[in-house]
Amino acid sequence: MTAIASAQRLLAKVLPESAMKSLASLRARLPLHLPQAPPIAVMYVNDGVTRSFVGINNFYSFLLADEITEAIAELQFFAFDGARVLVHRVPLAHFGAETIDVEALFARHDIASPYGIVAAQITPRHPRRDAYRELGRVFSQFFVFYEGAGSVAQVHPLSQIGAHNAVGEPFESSQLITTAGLIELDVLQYNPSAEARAIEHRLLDAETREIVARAPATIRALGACCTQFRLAELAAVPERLLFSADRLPSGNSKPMLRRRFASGITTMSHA
Amino acid sequence: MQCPVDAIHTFQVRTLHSLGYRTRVALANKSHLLGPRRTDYRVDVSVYDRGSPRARFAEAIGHLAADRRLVIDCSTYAPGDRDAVLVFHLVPERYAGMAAVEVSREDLMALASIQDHYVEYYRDDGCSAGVLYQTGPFNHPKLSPKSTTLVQAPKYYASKTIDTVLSLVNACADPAYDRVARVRCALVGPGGLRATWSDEVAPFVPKSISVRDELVKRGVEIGDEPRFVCLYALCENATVVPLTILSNSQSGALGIEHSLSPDYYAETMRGPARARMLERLSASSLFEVAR
Repeated sequence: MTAIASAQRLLAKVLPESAMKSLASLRARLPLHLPQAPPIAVMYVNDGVTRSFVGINNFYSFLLADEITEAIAELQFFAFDGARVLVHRVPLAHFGAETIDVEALFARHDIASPYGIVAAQITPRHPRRDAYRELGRVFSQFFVFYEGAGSVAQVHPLSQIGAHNAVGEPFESSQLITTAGLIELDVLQYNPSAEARAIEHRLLDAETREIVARAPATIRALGACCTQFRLAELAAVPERLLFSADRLPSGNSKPMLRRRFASGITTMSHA
Repeated sequence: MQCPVDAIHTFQVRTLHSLGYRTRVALANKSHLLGPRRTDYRVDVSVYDRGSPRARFAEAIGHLAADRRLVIDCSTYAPGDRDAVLVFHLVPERYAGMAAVEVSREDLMALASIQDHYVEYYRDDGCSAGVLYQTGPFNHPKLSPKSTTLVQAPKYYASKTIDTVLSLVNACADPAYDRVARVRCALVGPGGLRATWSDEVAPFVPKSISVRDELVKRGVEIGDEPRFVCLYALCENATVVPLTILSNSQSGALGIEHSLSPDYYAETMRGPARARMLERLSASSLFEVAR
């Protein structure tokens, strides 16, 4: 029995019922817990060509401007095999914002990992303050900026890491992939769940929805993979393609689609 | 409620001639996921290439069946070299030819929230970049009486070759819409960097705010390495569509991303809670212009 429970039993013996009800009401209003969603995740790329920068801000300040909030951002980095390679913490001042250069961070810690999951949890220094209660459940959103070889891209996270992730549904992206000038489509897929997941990435003829290429993959828990579809290897290249997957590793873990063009430029966005 | 049929389901985009790109959209009809609300659409388009008044309205430019996509090249309707705003009107086929119909708020929400349209900017060599997003019946006097915009975007980078532009579109399904959006902006960066200003976005005129220019104006040195800032923006009198457009001036490469509204960060940030948040933010020192 905890000390609090012992005290409650003692008070129940000595206080009238009305006083106990008042105490129960008071306790219900105490800021005992900040309901946070699990860490929010997307992929970093750090392969010697593309660099990643993780942009974070103190969103508590934005949502509750008159509550002075200092926060701590905890970033977890996982390799493509799912191994956690680094935990990095960053303090955030009221309204503060920071960026984390993944290449520089990994170099400082002697980590070589070409791509994988980055997951963020941003927590106020005093999370039990009553002010945060009006937010309900909070989600530590952030953005990743990718840059290299003359190309630029940006994505926001789509998933939360953790064992709660059930296997996702079949997925077909609303992106229409025009093949003119395109030489390769890379699918950067992550698995935010706590168990390995087998999936199949597919390219479809956008007109007929016939499968023109497929690539099965098994992705370890908290791991990632990169499926490469080279257009020169397709039997026939339709004017436009669709990307689909027989299922996603979790509910909304849509991959990032990286187009590689004959000009050498790559562009990337989530599917 | 009585709803103009051209406002039931819209998609607002801008063109990007200013960065050397042409524009196409892939409209997606996912109403097949809505059971009895499944519908085909007749697609109309309004074109604004010099703000108001509307330069062109083209009716029935395409048929978008349920569970299908429709590609439309915006150059066909906005051929000039000026950045334009296009509003695509997706009219449920059963309402085609009618001016207004009785539609429940639930139906409107269902049709708007299921949409997942794609705007893509492309060059003749095939290089393209795009983003999926959705737009509601923004700024419509009957359908969206309280119009506001909140942006928190820790994703702006500037270097000698890289710029990030905040793209804002202040549009509406109603061509008579004439409200000028007033936007307060703040840039916050590492090392105590802070810059604030106010801007106006005319109706139907795409606005591009270069963060590199804003930093340079304030004497911030821009070097070879990408310099990071977080952009905060607040508009209390209109709903503007904010997109982040990254570009590399040497290669001409683009990257596009949309924003995340406050309810992505906290589950209660809708309705009255969002209104309270906006009031506090407006009164805070974040957007105070330095004197």
